[in-house]
Amino acid sequence: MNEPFILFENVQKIYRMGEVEIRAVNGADFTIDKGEFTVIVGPSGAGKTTILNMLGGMDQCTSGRIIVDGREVSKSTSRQLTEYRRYDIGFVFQFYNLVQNLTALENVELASQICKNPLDAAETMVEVGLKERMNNFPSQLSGGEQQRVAIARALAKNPKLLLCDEPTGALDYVTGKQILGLLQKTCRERGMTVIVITHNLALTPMADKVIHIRNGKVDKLEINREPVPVEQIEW
Amino acid sequence: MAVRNRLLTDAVREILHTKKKFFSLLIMNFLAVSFLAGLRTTSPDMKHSLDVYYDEQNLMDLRIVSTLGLTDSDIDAIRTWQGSSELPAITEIEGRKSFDALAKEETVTVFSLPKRVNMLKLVNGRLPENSGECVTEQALLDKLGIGIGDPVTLDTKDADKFTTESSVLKEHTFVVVGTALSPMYISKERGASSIGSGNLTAWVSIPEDAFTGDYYSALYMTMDELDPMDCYSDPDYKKQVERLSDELKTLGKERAAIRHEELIRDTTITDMAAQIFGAGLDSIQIEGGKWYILGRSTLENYEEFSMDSERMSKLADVFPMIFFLVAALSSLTTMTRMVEDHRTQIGCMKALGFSTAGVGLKYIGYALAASLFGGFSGWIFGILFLPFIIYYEWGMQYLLPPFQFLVIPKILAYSVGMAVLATAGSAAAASWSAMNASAASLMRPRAPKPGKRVLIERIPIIWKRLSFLQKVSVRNLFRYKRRFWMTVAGIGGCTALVVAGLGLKESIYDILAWQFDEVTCYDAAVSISEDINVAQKVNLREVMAQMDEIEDSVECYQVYLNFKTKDGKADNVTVTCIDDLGSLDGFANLRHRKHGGGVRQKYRELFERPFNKAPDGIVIDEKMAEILNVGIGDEVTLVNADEEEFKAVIGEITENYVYHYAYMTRNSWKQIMGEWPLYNTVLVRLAEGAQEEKAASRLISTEGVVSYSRIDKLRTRFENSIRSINMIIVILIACAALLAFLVLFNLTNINVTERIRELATLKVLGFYDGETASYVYRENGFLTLIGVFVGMFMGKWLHSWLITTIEVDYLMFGRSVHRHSYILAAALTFLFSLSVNFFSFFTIRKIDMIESLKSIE
Ligand SMILES: Nc1ncnc2c1ncn2[C@@H]1O[C@H](COP(=O)(O)OP(=O)(O)OP(=O)(O)O)[C@@H](O)[C@H]1O
Ligand SMILES: [Mg+2]
Repeated sequence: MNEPFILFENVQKIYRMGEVEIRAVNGADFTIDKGEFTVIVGPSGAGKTTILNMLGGMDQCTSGRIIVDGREVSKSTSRQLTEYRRYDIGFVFQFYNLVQNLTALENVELASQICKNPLDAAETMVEVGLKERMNNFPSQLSGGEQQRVAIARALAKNPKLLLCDEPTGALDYVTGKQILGLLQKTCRERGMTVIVITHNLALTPMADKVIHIRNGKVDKLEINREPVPVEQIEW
Repeated sequence: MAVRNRLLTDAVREILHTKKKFFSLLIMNFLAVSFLAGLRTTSPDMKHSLDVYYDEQNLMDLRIVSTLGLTDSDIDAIRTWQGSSELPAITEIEGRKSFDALAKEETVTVFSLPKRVNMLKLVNGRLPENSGECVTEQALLDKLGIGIGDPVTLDTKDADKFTTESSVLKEHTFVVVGTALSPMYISKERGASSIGSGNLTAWVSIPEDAFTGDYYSALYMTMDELDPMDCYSDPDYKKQVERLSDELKTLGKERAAIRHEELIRDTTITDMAAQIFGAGLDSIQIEGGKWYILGRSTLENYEEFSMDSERMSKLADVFPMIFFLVAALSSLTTMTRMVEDHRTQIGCMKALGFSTAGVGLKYIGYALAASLFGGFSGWIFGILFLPFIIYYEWGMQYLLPPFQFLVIPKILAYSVGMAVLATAGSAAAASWSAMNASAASLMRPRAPKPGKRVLIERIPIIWKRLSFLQKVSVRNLFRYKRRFWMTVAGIGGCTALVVAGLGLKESIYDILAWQFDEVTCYDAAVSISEDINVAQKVNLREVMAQMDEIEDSVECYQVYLNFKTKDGKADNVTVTCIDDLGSLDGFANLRHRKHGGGVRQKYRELFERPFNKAPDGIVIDEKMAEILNVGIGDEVTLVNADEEEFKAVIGEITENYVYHYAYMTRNSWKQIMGEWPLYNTVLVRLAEGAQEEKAASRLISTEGVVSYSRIDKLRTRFENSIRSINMIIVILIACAALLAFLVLFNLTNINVTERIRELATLKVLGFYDGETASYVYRENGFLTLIGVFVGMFMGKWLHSWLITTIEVDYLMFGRSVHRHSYILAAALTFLFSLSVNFFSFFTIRKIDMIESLKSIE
């Protein structure tokens, strides 16, 4: 248990655009333990999304080490990364990215059918509170409902790690709160490691760990001994 | 000004950023235009090349031949003759002495060296300058195995029979000093002869003073003022020449009468000479003379040349149109997609205050640039290479002069105009609605197309059997209706092109074997003199019976008649009369057509019945019946050489593909024409492996035989004339293949970019590249399947349309497409589809998940 679940070690991501070098992530170090609810905050352009993308195996780092549950993600081939995404990662985006041509349930099935130990798609839908809307197409659902489908899709894969990039960015206050509550509940009840990016500093009390990013570096790392349920936070 | 520049920058950058799309549009235009312009120019180029050559060699515009020969006083009479004032002036008039002779086994036509008209074009050596020299064709030297500087001896014994001198020539051996081309002969055919093998191999030209006689076989005339006209394509040329020849006829009658009297006067002398020399001069029968005034169209292969080239133009009317359709389709998909992609940007520009036209110009300009660049380069390529390749490939069988290019502005304007219309027009149509929408509505993201249940979902038996991803594919297919139809149309079009191209090739080539192996099975037609006497006839039969080369023969009466088509044109038909049509079996097989399909409704029932070998009236060929739109019991009007008309009732319709043939019993002929036909032809079937040359010379030298016409010559002539079509078809199939590839490439590309978000989502979820690709492939495969299926029908239809368009009156092509062509076309399309999918695999692999999912576009 000495090994942390997630290890970021001097990770750099440099974009080269002709002459110009953009250091999106410039030596980030942090660790996250299994089952932790982590919130990443920071100003726009700080490199949050870049970090999450590298963590999720959607992008490769320029240098440094990223280790997730003993797997060295930073040294994986593209095929291994795909496998990693397939079995270990669940992703939730700001813009839900549902397949328009599939019903809510089918969107979840789309993900679960390629996994080893998927959760039952319909049950997951019930869990996210969409029992009645399972057979609706995304265009027939509200933004919050769509985001819940996206979360159900990520959850049904039964991943080791759930990554959410501004999942409430497009939602109103109440709906946003519901979504975050859902994520927190998943973390607590299933013991799933959840990482959420947000701009909203008011949310930090709900996390076990808060990572502040600035200029591509970890600026500050807070650990909450007693996280607050999101329902009790007002902003 | 700066504003305009930035719009331009944007437009240029757009092209640079979407090179693949731009080039596939450009190539589409390139192909369409080069095909259209190239094929359109081919016929004028071919005609022009020959017209230039004719003018350079001063080819005759009119010639006069007479049964009694022509003299210097005839030339003087024409020179001093005054026609009506608007007639073109005769600039040159030259008499030519000639006869047929033998050079070893080769039959040649010998003529006096041209001085100003029909000038020879020297190839090697020089022209004769002294007596005892001659110039000839390379073909003769090759046949005789001699070269320039070697002597050649002319055996003139056949021609000598017709002269009062001891021989038509003063000397018989000539040194070959050069080889040349004559504008009188553009093909390798030299026509028939009544001596030797019955076929001329070559011409030999010798100085005029080598001849003993003082009369000419022909007078050649030129009218310089007609030179600027293209003799093939300018209808005025024909009109002017015809007017002159009509007026000359009157003079002809006078002069022929004078010549007749002269000859009678002379004969008294020659009779005495005949008694002295004991020569058999009774062959000079002095009947009333007649002038035949003939234009260029009676020259060997002169008309065939123009017909072949016109067939090219007909193809040009049909095929490139399909290319333009495909180009328009591609433009429509590409531009619709581009405008969709740029919705927000367009809205933004409009909000910034740019005019609709200013913004729209980018998209129309994009297509315009593709069509103009593609069009112009295609035009240049098309008119430079296509006519050139066709001319020389086809011309290998001929002796054609150097190729002459023509730049025809009308064709440039027409073909590039078509490209612009198809491509830029589609772009305008595609961007129309976006351009006219309000800025605000454009900037709002377009709601993604909502998912919908499809009909099949309500049929649980099928739906339940489908795997999850199959269900997704089915739903996608039916969801994007426009893409569905565009792909099906694109792929179908390509399959159709290949089917039609392959089918056309077969339809044309099949009839060679059908005609010459199954329908007309005889190897030669031996024509017999009208004046043959009984003893000669018996002798001829004996000779033929003894000849090992002849397997079987049948006597009949054959005559060329004309029949008038609806549009007033006259067409030739060879009418064969015999006591019993059944005895033609094995020579000309009369039967109903079973090959090639596409029998007209009108004849369908008839063709079910057995062929009636003893019909009342006339048996005509199917194509003739089609042209005249007649059936059994209807009448056809036949016209003989003296312009007399006869009506015959149709008794049967027989299979035939090349030229026109009709058959009658002798009884029917008697009923219709009023007199019994005399046998004038023997149809001959040769034994296997027989030497035809030998048989021909043996028969020709038998008394009473006039000529020996070989069927294989007909076959070769026909084969040569379809070479040009074949060339085009080969190019066409290649282009269809390229087009098919481009269309599929375009559609797959669009398919991928249109769904890049969906594909990126799949990748994020952890679908392997193969799985993600197969998500697209499954749909492509299904669309290809449907496209190919639809394409088969389109191809069948296109093929029959093409056949009716390019079929000429004297040919009947096969009317259906073979099964293996369908299979090949389908296989090719699938192959293209596969290789395009192979390429798109890399595109899918390269999809950047992060970029594609960044935000709502
Ligand atoms: N593909 C790319 N090419 C070049 N630079 C990039 C690319 N992606 C991101 N960047 C740059 O990297 C930096 C970090 O970007 P990132 O998206 O991680 O920021 P962020 O913290 O998520 O910001 P936000 O809160 O606005 O989402 C930014 O300066 C951005 O411009
Ligand atoms: Mg971000």
